[in-house]
Amino acid sequence: MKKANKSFFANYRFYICILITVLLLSLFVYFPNSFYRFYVSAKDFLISVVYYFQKLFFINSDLKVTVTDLVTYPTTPVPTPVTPPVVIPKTYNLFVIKLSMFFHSLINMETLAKFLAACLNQFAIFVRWFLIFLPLLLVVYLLHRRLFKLKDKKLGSDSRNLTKAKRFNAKVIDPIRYFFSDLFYYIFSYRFIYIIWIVILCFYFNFFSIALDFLAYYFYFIVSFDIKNLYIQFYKLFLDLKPMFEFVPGFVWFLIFVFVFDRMRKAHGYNVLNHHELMNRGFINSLGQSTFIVGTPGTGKTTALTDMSLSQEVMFRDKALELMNKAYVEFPNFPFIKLEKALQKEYEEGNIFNLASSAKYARNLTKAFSLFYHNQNIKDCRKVLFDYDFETYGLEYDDGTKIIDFLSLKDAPSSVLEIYCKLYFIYVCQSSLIVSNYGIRSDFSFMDQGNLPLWDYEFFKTSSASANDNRYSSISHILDWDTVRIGKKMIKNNKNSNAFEFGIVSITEIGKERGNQYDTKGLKKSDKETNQINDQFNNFLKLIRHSATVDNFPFIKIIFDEQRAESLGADGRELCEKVINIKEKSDAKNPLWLFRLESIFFDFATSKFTNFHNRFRFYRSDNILYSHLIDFIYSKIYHHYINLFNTFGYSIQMIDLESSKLDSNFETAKYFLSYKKIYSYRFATDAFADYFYRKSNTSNIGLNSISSFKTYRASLEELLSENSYLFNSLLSPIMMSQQPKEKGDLRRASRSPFPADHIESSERDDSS
Amino acid sequence: MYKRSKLGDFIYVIALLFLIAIIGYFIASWNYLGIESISKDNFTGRTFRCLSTDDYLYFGDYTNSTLSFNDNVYYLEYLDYKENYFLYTSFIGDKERNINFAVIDSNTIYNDYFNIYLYSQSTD
Repeated sequence: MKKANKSFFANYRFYICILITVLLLSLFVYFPNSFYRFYVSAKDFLISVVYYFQKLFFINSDLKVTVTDLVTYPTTPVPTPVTPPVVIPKTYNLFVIKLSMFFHSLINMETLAKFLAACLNQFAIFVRWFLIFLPLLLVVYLLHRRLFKLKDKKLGSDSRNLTKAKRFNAKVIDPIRYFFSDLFYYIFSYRFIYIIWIVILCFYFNFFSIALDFLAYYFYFIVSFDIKNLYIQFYKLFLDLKPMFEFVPGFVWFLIFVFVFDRMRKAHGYNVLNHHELMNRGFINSLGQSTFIVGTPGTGKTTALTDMSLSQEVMFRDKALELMNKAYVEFPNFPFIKLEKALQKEYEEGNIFNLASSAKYARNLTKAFSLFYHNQNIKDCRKVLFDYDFETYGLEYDDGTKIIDFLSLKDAPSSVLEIYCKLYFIYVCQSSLIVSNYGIRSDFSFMDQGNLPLWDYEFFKTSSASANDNRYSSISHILDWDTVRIGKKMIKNNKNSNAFEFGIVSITEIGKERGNQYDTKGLKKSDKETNQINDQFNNFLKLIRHSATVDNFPFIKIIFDEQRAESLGADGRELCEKVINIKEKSDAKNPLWLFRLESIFFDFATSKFTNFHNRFRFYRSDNILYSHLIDFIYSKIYHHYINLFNTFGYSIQMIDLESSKLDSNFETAKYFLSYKKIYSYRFATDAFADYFYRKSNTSNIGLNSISSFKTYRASLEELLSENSYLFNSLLSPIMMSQQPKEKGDLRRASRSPFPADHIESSERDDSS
Repeated sequence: MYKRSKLGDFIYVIALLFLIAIIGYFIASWNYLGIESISKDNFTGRTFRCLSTDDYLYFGDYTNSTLSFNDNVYYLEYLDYKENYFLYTSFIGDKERNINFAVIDSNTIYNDYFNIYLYSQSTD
């Protein structure tokens, strides 16, 4: 944290901290026994340690362990007022008795009557306060009703009260807020300040004594196994914590409870989301190399496609690291860090830019090694292998099925060095691993201390700001279709043609690009122009696995979506092991405990606020204090709710997994869509909106200019103006049979599929 | 958005209140065992089941005793005493006679030797 500007001692905040420290120290009055308790604990600890060593070395002595005794304070507390005992009895036997009595008294009319009486008592207190504030509420209600009257105020002007409130806020509230935020900033800039305060409070609350007593009992217990005394320790714990429970007021305990509960439920929420993510990854792994997602509009095909691509990207990097670790274990003495640094240098110089150049680098090292080895130049051999003592540690590894070579000296098809170079390239690849026909934003965050970088795979705990920050994002590569055509290409000598080797290919609306057998009817392999038949895209799908396989793992995944499975030709479709048919998407769910209660309250507040807000805006155009306060309160409620909803919300897609042969053999599955993961600017649901923007921009008219029906029953001319195949075919014979009298009629009677255009254009021509 | 039904909301809220009431009832039941309110009316002529320790006098299911009221002084008489049920018989031996108590507040009785907290009051 940035240090405060002013020097430490010359700062008035320092004196405030001193004052707070003195106040905390003066709490000694409330905790007179804490010092003695600490002294006893220290004594207990020392005696227990001595006892422990005596027993350890079989030394007999009359040393009496004191940790097993209750603390007797030297100054007897004043008998009145007598404090009630702690919540558990003094001895274990009494505890058992009390427990037995507790269960006996549970189903007891007297206990129930007392409980109801206590509840009624609390209710009576509530009613009393309610009655005290009732007149005020009535006044507010009457004022509230008076708001909805037309007022002739200047647009957007502030009322007198609001102006005063704003002035008060600016002159009083804001300075106080800034003062405290400044003070907190100062305190957190100097850690030792709040550490001192925590230490003082911990001392008064007997935390140190408890810790020492715990250690004392530990040393005593491990040599005595005195389980019987364990209860006394619990009793002492309750006694020691009693001063804290009595000192801290109830509302602070309530706030602590709310805080802890909130943390616990959020931890639970994150666990659920992570569990869903792992289930999704398991599901994706169970699919083949190519996956086809289909579903009706609105079920979230492209959302699922994007989600799977993001998970797959993480899995690829994870897998690369896993395989790198495997190589590390097989050759633990090889200085992989030196190899990685050399590779990084090659990346920077542009010598290594893909898997092939990574392999080439490894092969060049092998050649150099081989040359030096042939000349018996061991020193240079070592230098080539980054000072690896290959004579001692070897260049082979027996994995039980074969001998794995570190270098391809014997013309082995692959070597660990080559594999590692490729894996490292995949792992540290400085851009998204996704190639798609629409934009997908991946998280791009990793920790690097100059050694092995570690990727941050966290989808759910990242801040919202990182979604807008290019430093932590990487957008998918543009899918140049020529890169996935191994036949004819659209552009000759396209530099991207051979650039794709591995990664995730995500294609939305593939049927519209590739078409099925009906769409491609008439296209031939021999056509001069590139088409869906002669570009051999399907062969690409079949063969790309070979370029992407490293250490027997294919780093390739092709996922595409379309509304109907039949929209894609059978050859391409059947390359997918399964077709994911998204049947439906569930309503939003939330794993947070008590979120439903918040949702009920939020809906209530929203309905009240919306009702108020719309009515207020209907009647008035000025700003008043009352509406300002309501806006402020509701905005806080909204912010709280919407953050929880978006961070922890998720939907479940119900999936039918069908064979790509579409033989109606279904398996059911679930896919989880977390809002935090998928809706943080991952993709645009209107991915192709720019096309329609450009298209609409060429038009001179809008919705308002499109003709409307004159009545609810359409006239013949209106039906014709629909340019419908149906009405054109039905009405044309009728129109033809009529004698054309006017110029306009002639045009309507024509068989043109665009009669309305003719009419309108002619009218426009006439008018012009 | 987060879809709910009104019936579901109603059942949820009722179930939540019921859960809170149950937890509150459990805590209260445990605490009632230690915060028995004592007044003249509670004491006079009533029978308590009690168990004693050296510091505290616990009223339990083990033997019967009677408390009677007499001008700011409480007398405790043990009835149907069975030695086996007491954990600290030496204490009981001393206190088989009438015991003096001074009233401190409605929840607590204090005398020179020990405090008394009434646990589980039940009439025969």
